[in-house]
Amino acid sequence: METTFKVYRFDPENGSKPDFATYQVDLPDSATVMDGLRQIRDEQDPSLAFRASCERGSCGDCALRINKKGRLGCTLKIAKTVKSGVVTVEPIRNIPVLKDLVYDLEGFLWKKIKSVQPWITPRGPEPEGEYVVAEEKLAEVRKAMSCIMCGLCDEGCAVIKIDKDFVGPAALTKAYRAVFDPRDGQHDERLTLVSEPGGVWDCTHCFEANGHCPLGLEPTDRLFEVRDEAIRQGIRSGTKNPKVQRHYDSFLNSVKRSGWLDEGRLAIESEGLTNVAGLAKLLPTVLRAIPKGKAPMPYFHPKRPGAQAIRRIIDKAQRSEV
Amino acid sequence: MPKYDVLIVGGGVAGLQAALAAKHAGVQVALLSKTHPLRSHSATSSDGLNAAFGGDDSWQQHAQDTIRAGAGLCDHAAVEEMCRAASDDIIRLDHIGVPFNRNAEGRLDRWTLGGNTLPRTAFSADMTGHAVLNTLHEQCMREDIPSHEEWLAISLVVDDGCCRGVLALELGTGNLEAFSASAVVLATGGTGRVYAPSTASQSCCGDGMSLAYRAGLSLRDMEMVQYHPLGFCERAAFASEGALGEGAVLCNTDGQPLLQTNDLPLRDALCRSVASASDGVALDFRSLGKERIRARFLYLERAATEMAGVSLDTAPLPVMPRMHRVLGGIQTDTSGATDISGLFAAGECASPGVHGANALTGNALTASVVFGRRAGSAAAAHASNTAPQAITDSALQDAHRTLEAIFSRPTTSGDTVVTIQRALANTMAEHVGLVRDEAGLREAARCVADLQARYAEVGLRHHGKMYNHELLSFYEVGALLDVAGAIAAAAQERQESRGVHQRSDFPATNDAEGQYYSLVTRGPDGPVLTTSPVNAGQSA
Repeated sequence: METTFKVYRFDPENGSKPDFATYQVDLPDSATVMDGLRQIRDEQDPSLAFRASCERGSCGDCALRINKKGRLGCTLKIAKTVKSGVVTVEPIRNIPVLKDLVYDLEGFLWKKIKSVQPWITPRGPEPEGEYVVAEEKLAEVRKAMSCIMCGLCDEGCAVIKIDKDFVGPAALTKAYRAVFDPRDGQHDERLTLVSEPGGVWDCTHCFEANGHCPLGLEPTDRLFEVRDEAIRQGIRSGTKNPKVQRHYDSFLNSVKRSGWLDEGRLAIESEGLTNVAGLAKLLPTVLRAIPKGKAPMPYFHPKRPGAQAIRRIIDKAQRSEV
Repeated sequence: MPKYDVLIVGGGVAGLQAALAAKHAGVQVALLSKTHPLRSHSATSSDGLNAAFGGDDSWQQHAQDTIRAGAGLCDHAAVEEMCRAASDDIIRLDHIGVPFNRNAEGRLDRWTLGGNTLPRTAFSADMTGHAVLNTLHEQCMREDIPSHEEWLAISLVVDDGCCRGVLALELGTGNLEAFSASAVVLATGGTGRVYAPSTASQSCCGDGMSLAYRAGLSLRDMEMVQYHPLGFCERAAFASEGALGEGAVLCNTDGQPLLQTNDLPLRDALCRSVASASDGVALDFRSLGKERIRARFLYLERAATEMAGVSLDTAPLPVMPRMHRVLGGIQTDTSGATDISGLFAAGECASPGVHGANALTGNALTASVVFGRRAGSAAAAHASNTAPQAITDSALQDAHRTLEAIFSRPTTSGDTVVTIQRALANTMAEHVGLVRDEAGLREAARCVADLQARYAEVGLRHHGKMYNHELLSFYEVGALLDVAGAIAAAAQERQESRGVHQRSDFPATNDAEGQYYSLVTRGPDGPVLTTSPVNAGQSA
């Protein structure tokens, strides 16, 4: 099958600007995108740089943007992705490119993985033999651990795009592995860690990570489960993240008071009434919202019909929690 | 110049085990790896970890099965060491978080692999290598072990018979650097790319074997080339042999079962059965049902769909034998020590002698876990008793000059490192494959020598420093040629059939003359072969 490969090229050594180069490859129908890149490098242009290791979807080394979608180049057949005879190959997004299709995972992925401390620390003295654990519990840990660290969930993440400090779905899926491993003894410490700024509370629920994971591991859902576990354990904010607790309290109080969410008050109370710098940061948003009718003035938040009933439900739920 | 007590070269399972063992012994240890550790070939290991966990099993029974599989060439002391230590090492892996499958009581589940008289293989679905690699990597992060990633060790620094460290090339920048260390552990993995097709990752180029060989050490049992019976037909992937114990059936094209008994054969025999079915063979999982397939073949279910277009619960997966690994490697003792003081080796690049002429399925990862740990501990002990010696500037200057000379070679012949590597891999598959004969082995040795001569002249088309893959390939192909020469020489010398080494011109096993280790060293005119008697006595 003859295919045109449009490949992103960038070589800081020769000072040129990033550009696309075009190559013709001829490969059998069973060939993958990596087979195509290898043919280009081996037979046409030895300067082309890309990473590749296991060649079977086991190691995550060849995550690339192929025809505008994050994919593993080693398992994706050319025949499945080619559009009008063309395959376009680029580095994944939101990441510093080192050369051609080689990008810098250090800050994007590896440091973030380490930051959630995803290692098992024994709780108390270890048993003489293996831990006795139900298979159902470990099956979920095993599945989360089958993550190959390709970084494609982070590539698709809407938050990382604008906030490089968000640890992202890959690191939080790794955190899930430790949080839900019954053999771990650092449960609450890790939950506190991932509740800090940049952790679980910075996810905006866009579910892009689920759509981008090539293994179907649902990183967004894993992240939610970690966050829900933190809430269950009474950990609503990290040591540096009091905003989460204020947000939680304001949300709850608003619904208890009026039966629905007072968004203006939520924004102010989340920042903290004495947090002048934080409140000042809200101003530009408010000023942009007013002309678009998103912040009606004068601001008034009425009670909903049935607010009393809602309050009774919440009170009852809170009593049963206690 | 970076200086450490212990430097581990290679970030797969054996390397990470060694690094953790050295760290726990209290020395300064660092990793140096050609790829990020999580991209290591260990991630593809799918069979699990053999150990005797009590009950009806014993380490003696495990050792007996290992020795039987090894067809007379196992080092009994090494086998005993591994089989005694395996269960504690695997329990340790459980304690640090490997998500091994559990049975109904919540204890380690075990599946049955060919040649094992009992179910003794602990597994984490068919991704045990991946799970162990990730768990060990977590612990290395926890211990803050420095990791130099995307560095290729290009030579060992050896003075007066003592290893002082390595010279290495940073792939991202093209810089050369000397890493000084009181002890070095080679854990660089296997050499599968010396054949095509194979199950190898791109990185499996015999780097460490070649480093040791060029430093004057022997490569042992290199003629023992193991094929995997359940390779995919078009990709490097393979199915775990655990499939057969779980009830998947190997069938010919008529749907007739290939195996006539319930006993699972040894891997070498299974490869020959699969290879002899002229119309092809497929692995049928349909009787397992979707749920069991998913619980136990997490990787294969996805791989079969993506790469072979087969849904395991509805259709059989076509398979064929693919070259899998060389069972031999750098000759070591049971602590990983080599004949160079301060140099240790473990994992697929090393040969402590546990596999003999045919590895017991499920022992490979166990050997990496046990001997990786032992090599790390022994290296730490050596470093504690050895004053570090700096590497002289002249060693690094020589390396710079060599690199410049490589870049200044002309490219007029039209030869490239890629054409040489392809010719080599095809030659080895054609003449040193599952069944060998004198004429083919002679031809292979001639081809390898010819390719060595071409390699000595080959120039590089690309002269960039950053991520210059052609330069990386240059070093890798050099290593593959060393390994291929050793394989061909050892295979030619062994005029009998034994384990994975089958010769059509010598189909019988010759116990009177064949019970020896082949030892290949590097001579001025090519590989030099000697032999030594098999250690069939048990250790104290």
